[in-house]
Amino acid sequence: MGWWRVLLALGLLVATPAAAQRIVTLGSEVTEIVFALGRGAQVVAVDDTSTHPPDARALPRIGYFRALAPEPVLAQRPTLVLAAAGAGPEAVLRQVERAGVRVVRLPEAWTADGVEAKIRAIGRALDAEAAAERLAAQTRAALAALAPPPDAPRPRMMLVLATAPGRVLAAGQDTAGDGFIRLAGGENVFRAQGYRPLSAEAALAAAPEVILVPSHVARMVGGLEAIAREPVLARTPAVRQGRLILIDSQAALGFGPRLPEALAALRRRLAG
Amino acid sequence: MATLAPAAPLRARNGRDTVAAGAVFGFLLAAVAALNLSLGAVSVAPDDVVRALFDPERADPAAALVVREIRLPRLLAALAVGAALAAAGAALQALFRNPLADPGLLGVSTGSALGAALWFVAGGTLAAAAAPALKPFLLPGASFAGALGAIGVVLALAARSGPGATLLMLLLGIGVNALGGACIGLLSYISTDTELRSLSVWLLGTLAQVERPVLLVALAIVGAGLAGLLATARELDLLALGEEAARHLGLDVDALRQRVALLTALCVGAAVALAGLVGFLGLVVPHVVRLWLGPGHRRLLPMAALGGAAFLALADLAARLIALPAEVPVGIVMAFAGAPPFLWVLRSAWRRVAA
Repeated sequence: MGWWRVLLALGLLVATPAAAQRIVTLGSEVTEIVFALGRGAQVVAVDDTSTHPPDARALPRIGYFRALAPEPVLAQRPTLVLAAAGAGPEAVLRQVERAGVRVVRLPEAWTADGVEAKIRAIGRALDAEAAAERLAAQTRAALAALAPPPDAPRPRMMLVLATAPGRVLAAGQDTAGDGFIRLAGGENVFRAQGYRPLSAEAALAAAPEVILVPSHVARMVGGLEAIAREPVLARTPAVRQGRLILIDSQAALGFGPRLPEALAALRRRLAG
Repeated sequence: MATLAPAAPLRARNGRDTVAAGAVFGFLLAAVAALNLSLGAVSVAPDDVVRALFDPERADPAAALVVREIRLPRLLAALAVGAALAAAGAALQALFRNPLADPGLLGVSTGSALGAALWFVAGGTLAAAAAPALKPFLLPGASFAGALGAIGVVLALAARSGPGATLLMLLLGIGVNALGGACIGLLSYISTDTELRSLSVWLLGTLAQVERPVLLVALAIVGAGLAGLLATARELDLLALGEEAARHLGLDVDALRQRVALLTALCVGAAVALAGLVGFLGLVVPHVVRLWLGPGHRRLLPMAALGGAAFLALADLAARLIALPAEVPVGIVMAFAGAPPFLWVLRSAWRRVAA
């Protein structure tokens, strides 16, 4: 019986730092945070939405993070799965857990505190609390620097999704879009719960001065011009004054480390 | 209402065909099962698969885990769901003497889907409070409760006898389907983005969410339902003569109708609770088997169950492998794989009728 194999395994155990993990990340901002904490080298696979930083693009993909299957995840022989809220289905995560893999489900809140909580949770899972504290502090400072003064006028904003031509949804309360508008100092004029279909009349009544269009939506329907041509939006002040603004979907709506970057970009567009 | 008799082959079938069909389906089933256990995103050597099944202590632990915890439950679920849907389809086609009857006819799958939708939209808080051991049961449980609710409504309102009662039950099924569909529409409207996505993944039909503890319960329910359906074969044969004729021959048509409705609901409810909505299988497989073996239900019901099991396991194999590392919902594979044979069956059946 190969005693040398036992020796080799023991040697490997000793030689490998205890923190070495094989990590699978589920959710674009989760991947970004792991790389920002300097643990990108331990990531062995990512979900389809993880396209940032560029290094993550070279990694194997295991499918869309909300519609996973257990075996492709296990095929990467992970020791740790970091799952954004909404990753799943939950039954698949449980199967992965039952196969002996540690699955950490991350919190989600579309506020500045929510970003920090997510960074800290990932830091704890990776035994990288100090780095996480630094990244959280850095993000907090960047967000604070971008916060509009309390007495500033609040532009009337709306964030729209279009799943197909003629089918426009707007972001109501309790959505990432609403959180982004708040942080940008705008007033979300679409007062509904969740993402809801938008009618021409509701769009007119809401009278947004600025319409935010996530980049993946613009890509899907053929650019900002196509959104501007949507009949339900055509008569809004924002379209008439040409105030349709493209935002980076993942940076703005992922609520990860690139949130300040997305807010700064929006600030420049609003000023310009 | 169209009857099945003309669509079925007129030539009498002998026992040899049954043996041949049993052998073909049995072989297909064994081959598909072996492939399902051997192939997947994780590569496992064939001898490790055998060891994982029969001698787990000596197998590679990682391979044993994948084969025993992931692939075997999933294979068993595919077989159970396929058998349940095909047998239920065959029985409902016989009961309503309508070739277009499918397992969803009485509103059971819509009820199941509504149960699941309610769970996705309103169950979040309950899930957080539930004990970990119970968690795998919550979604399938909600779905199965929806199925029972739907068949309960149909049976309660259809509790009358005599001519027209069958038609009444069919129409009630259509009504329950419409009402359930409307409720699902409303729920998907008030659901959040995340809830809606979870729901739509589930509605497309997938076996990726099958968990072992749930599987055991579902297997027991499907087993009971199938056994009950097989026991009605002789009565369904009598019914093929027409309701009036069957009554004159001493068949209690009303009791049979209630029994078949309940048994198919058990089968379909358990199937949908495990796998979501898998279409076409319950419609197509009985037709293919009937064209081959003739309309006698003592052969049709077991062979349809066997064929359905093999067909769904094959479709799930494709669903797991064609888009690696991602997975295609098996409901989509089934629709693609099921529609062409259905058209072919219609065409050849029409030739027989026209000839």
